[in-house]
Parts: sequence; structure tokens; C-alpha cells
Amino acid sequence: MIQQIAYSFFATVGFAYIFNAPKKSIFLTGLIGSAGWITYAYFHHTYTANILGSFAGALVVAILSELAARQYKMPATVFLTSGIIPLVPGGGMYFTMLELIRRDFDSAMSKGTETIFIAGSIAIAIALGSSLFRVKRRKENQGN
Amino acid sequence: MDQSKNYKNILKLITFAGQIMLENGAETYRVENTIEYLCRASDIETIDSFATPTGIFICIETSDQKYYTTLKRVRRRITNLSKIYQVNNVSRKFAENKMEIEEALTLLEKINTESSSSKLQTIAAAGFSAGFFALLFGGSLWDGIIALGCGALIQYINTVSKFLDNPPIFLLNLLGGAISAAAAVLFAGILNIGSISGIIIGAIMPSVPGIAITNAIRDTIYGDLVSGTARAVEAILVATAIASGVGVVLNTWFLLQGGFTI
Repeated sequence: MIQQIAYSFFATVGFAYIFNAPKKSIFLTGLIGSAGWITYAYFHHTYTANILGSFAGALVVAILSELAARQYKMPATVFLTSGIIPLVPGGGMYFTMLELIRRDFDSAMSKGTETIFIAGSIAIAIALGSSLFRVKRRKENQGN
Repeated sequence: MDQSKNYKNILKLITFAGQIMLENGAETYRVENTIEYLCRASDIETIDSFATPTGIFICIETSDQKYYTTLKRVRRRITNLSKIYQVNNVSRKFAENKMEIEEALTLLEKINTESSSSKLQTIAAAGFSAGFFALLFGGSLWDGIIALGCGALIQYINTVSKFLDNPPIFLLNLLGGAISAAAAVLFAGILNIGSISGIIIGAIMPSVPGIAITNAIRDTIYGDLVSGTARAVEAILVATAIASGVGVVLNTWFLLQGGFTI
């Protein structure tokens, strides 16, 4: 558990550096990445539910990123792009193509479908997370 | 000030802001929002902007029914979150009328030419994230160490090639995949240290298009169908390149083993 937190933290921080994120955002981005991964890992180990786990993890990342964005007055993308890195199905994309090259179309189909579903669930979670905040902001504006 | 010159300057400002954001990996809807936001500070009647990952179109209609249109081609796409953040700051200040057009343009020019973080740092970061990904996905300590070396090497090659005007992205990804697989075969297959899949997974992680495929679906959900499709094609292309590189090397290795072909 602690290992998983540390690994996902450093993997996320590495990406934050590759993406040249603003310096003061990097530590928090690492924590957000860990939080997302732990949420995913919980669903993965308890229910072996990868797609639901990706959705829940991405939702956690999206909400935390929006909160951090307001706190630090930075666009949410700064936290989001690196924060979802441990969850995104890069490995899935690669395995799908590898199975296609191996001409094992059954495996390619199942890997590919899972990859698209995971990417889709992450995308929906992010859209959901940020639209929650958009609704909130609009209400605040109406109040003024 | 001469009114039409003023409009031309605003058009120049919003096009430049949009171009910097797109080149540095901002989402298309964010680019369009920023452009519309920047126009709030002026008396522009309507603004229409259409951003795709490869280009940006803007048309403004002034209060005296004149139209100004511009088109900007975006050729290079990297991810640089600092620049997106800085453009965001400029646009916020400009829209709140705390900044003149000339000052905003100078600032954008500075943001655009500013060099990103040091090459050594990026290479080290890619290495470390590759190593930790190998561990995160259940690899052994050796897998992590070898993936670290591979990730750093691939990032080094990518960094060096940035000096080219038009870096061959497909070939670079193919080479990256081949290097990862070659290292995996050398260490796990011949020297018996670590596992083939553990090393490859970690080493290719910094280059696989996970973010791209997620953004593609996100754009599509928001209704930006053109950029969604463009990003999906880009993601599939990158994944194909990496998998081809890995596939060629692994195939050769298994053939040499006298075993099955993959």
C-alpha cells in the first residue's frame, strides 16, 4: 500500500517535470496522482473492476485538480494532465497494437475494447468532475 | 487610437495566445474559451473561433459590422503546462483591463520564446517515471532500474531530435519501442535479469499515448468532433509506431531462439 503510494507519487512527479509544470504545483500533483491510483487500486484488488476503478480514480483526480486549481489560481489542466497519468491506458494502447502485429485478433479485440472503455470512463469522469464545478461557479456568479 | 488598427492588434493578440496554447498541449475548448475571454475587454460584437489540434480559425465582427478573419497553422505539439498557465495569467489580467495590448503582446512573445526546463532534468524525470511505472505495474526492482535507463535514453533521443525542424515522430517512436525491446531481450532474455514484459511496459510508459486517447474521447464528449478524431488518429499512430518497434525486435529474438514467431 505505502509502496503503491510512493511509486505512483514519483511516477506522477516525473511526468509533471516532463510536462514542465509550474514548480509550485508539482508536489501537489504527485499527491493527486497517488490519490487517483489508490482509488483505482482499491477497486482493482477488491472487485477486479478495472473500468469502474478507472472511473472512480479519474473522478477523484478531476475533483482534486479543480479544487487545487482554485486554490493556486492555475488552470485545472496543470494538475489534471499529470495527475491522471497513472490511470491512462497507455499500456492498453500498446498491447492492442502489439496483439494486432502478432495477428492475434481475438486478444487485440478484447485488449482494444478494454482500452477504449477505460479511456472513455476516464474522459467521462473528467467531464463530470469539471462540469460539477462549472455549475457551482455559475450559481456563484448569479448570486453576485 | 485608430479603431481598425486596434481591432487588428486584438486579432493578433488572440491568435498568438491561441497558437501558444495549442502548441503546448492545451485542450481545444480551453483555447476557444481563452480567445472569447480575451475579447471581453474590447467592444467586439461577436467572436467565433474554431480550434483544432493542427490549426486555428478566428473571425471577429466589430460593432460597425466589419469582419476580420485569421487562420493559423499549428505544426508542433508538445506538452508544456507552464506556458499554458502563463498565457492563462496574461489573458486574465488583460480581460480585467489591467493590461494594455502592447504589454500583453510583449509578454506573450516572452512566454513563446522562453526555453523550457533543462534537458538534463527532463531526461532524468523521464527515466525516473519509467522506472517507477515498471514498479507500479508489478515489475521487480531490476525491471525498474533497467526501465529507468531505457526511459532516459529514449527521452535523450527525443530531446536531441527537437533541434530538427520537423522531427520524424513516427520513426522516433518506432526507435523508442525497438530500444525498449532490445534492452528487455538483452537483460531479461540473455543475462536473465528481470522480466521482458516488466521492462518494456515501464520503458515505453513515457511515450505511450494514454493522455492522447483520453483527450480524444473527452473532446468528442464535449462535441469537438474534429479535434477528437484528429487526436484519436494521432494516438493510434503513436501506439502503432511503438508496438511495431517492440514487435520487430521481439519477433527477431523469438525466431533466433528457434521458437514460435509472435
